[in-house]
Amino acid sequence: MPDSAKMAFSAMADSTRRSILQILSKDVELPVSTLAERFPGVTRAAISSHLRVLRDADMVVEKRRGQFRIYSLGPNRAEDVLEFLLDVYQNDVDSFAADSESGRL
Amino acid sequence: MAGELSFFVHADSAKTPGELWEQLAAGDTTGWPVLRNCRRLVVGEAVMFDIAHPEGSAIQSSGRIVNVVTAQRVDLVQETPWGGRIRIDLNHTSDGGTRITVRVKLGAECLPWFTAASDPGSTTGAPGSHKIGLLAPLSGPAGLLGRAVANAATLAVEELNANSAFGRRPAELIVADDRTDATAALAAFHRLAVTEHCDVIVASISSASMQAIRPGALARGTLLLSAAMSERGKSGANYFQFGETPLDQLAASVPRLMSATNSRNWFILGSDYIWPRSIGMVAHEVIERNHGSIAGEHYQPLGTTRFDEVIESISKSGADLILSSLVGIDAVLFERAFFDSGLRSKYRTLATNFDDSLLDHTGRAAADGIWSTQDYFMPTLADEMDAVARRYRARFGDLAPRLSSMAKSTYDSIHLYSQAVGIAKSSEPAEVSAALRSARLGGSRLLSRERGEVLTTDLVEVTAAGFRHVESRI
Repeated sequence: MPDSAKMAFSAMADSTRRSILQILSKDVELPVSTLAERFPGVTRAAISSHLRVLRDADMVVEKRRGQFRIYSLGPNRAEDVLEFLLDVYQNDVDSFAADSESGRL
Repeated sequence: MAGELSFFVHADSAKTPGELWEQLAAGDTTGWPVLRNCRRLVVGEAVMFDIAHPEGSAIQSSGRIVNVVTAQRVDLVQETPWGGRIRIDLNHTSDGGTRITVRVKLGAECLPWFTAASDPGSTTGAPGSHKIGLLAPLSGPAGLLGRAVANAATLAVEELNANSAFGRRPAELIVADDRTDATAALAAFHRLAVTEHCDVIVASISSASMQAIRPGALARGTLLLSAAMSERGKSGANYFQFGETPLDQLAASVPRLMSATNSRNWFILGSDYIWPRSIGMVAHEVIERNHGSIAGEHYQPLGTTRFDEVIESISKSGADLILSSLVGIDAVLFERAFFDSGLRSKYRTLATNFDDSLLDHTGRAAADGIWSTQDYFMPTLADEMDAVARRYRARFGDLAPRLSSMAKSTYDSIHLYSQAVGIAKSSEPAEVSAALRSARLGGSRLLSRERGEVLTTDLVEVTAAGFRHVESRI
């Protein structure tokens, strides 16, 4: 697994972090306060800590705008992770395709 | 659900959905994704399947069929190594063939499972929680045993939180898969003890894995509760062994089976590591004490998939009773092969690791007549269920793997730990250990076993309706 995918795996291992990525994929850029509002059961400090993990994995980038920190999706995308997982299950389907070509299935 | 990972993959066939379904329902499952070891296409059927790790190895996985729509759809719950849902749809294509689509929704444990080995440093636990680590097999040969254990631990932790057992610190369960492998067990232990700083680790793992993690636990002073059946090793300051011992399992069941079958010649069969070998050693004593004899003995490495030679050895040995301490998938594959050989009705088998999950995967027909003996078997009938079994069923549903002895012992261990923390008014390992050894928890069955008492177990027999109690607390 490439290092970028490994970091993406770790970053995406948490459902809150996955939700943050999902929100940023729709809203493009958001300050931490707005992101925190979307997670009423989670403290703002915890959201900041999740954002730090995502930032370390290059999955989000942080920009300063005045006194606000603005987050958007980074260069390391979840596609690496999904592609890896897709492969896991795709391999299982390949045997069906092979048997289908031989006419058995 | 927000943050859920889902995707689909597909493949095409020139056959119609009806033709494909006919093949599948007739048991011709070769080549089918997920279903290739499935014996019956019915709701509740347990299924084992390997999926290929993109880096080369096979990931031994298991699940259960939860919905079947003839010639259209099969839904499964994936149980190990991670939870998830898998839907297989068969759709007509415009050229008269079929497109099969496999839709996968992955549970939260999937991504940490892939990163655990290469990146044990990433924490998933919430800061400030009272962390209860669970070390259990969710993959590898013993992987079939793990989901019931993880479920039971989840139930226990939810109950503790409902009662605010640790005050303002909510309990959090962190599950790590030992993959039935000593090296992976060490990495999983490191993650729970060092990265997550768990307050306690409850381990329902093989004695081979336990042997790997014990030195580290001892050096760190980790509070370690062993909930799985095991040979009796030396307990330590913060180390407790709560599972059945070989003598618990064999002292009464061996003479009962000899007397019930009027037979005395045994063939001892087991996986080749510490616990099955201990079962064998104790079996020698118990069989000799009861004037039986040993016609043959054989141990094979965990992960064995072919059993032709040992089946031939059994049939030539002159034995009429088999004592099996094969573990997990090995036990399932052996019992299936033994049934397929046509020898099942000629022998009676006492299988010490055979629980509901293994019965589900073996199939009742193939397992008919096997005896098992463990501390706990979940009652089959709802009105016979104890309170824990009822709560377990209400929480996880009828189709979840049933509460096994190892799972019940894990559940009890977590509750006992919570009581000890309450007495100690501390989660410091030494203080909790002292509380566990104090007279105030003297009534606990787990602690009686820890003190070395030989305890009775339940003796059951597989019938068409599942396990039937032959005798309780023998």
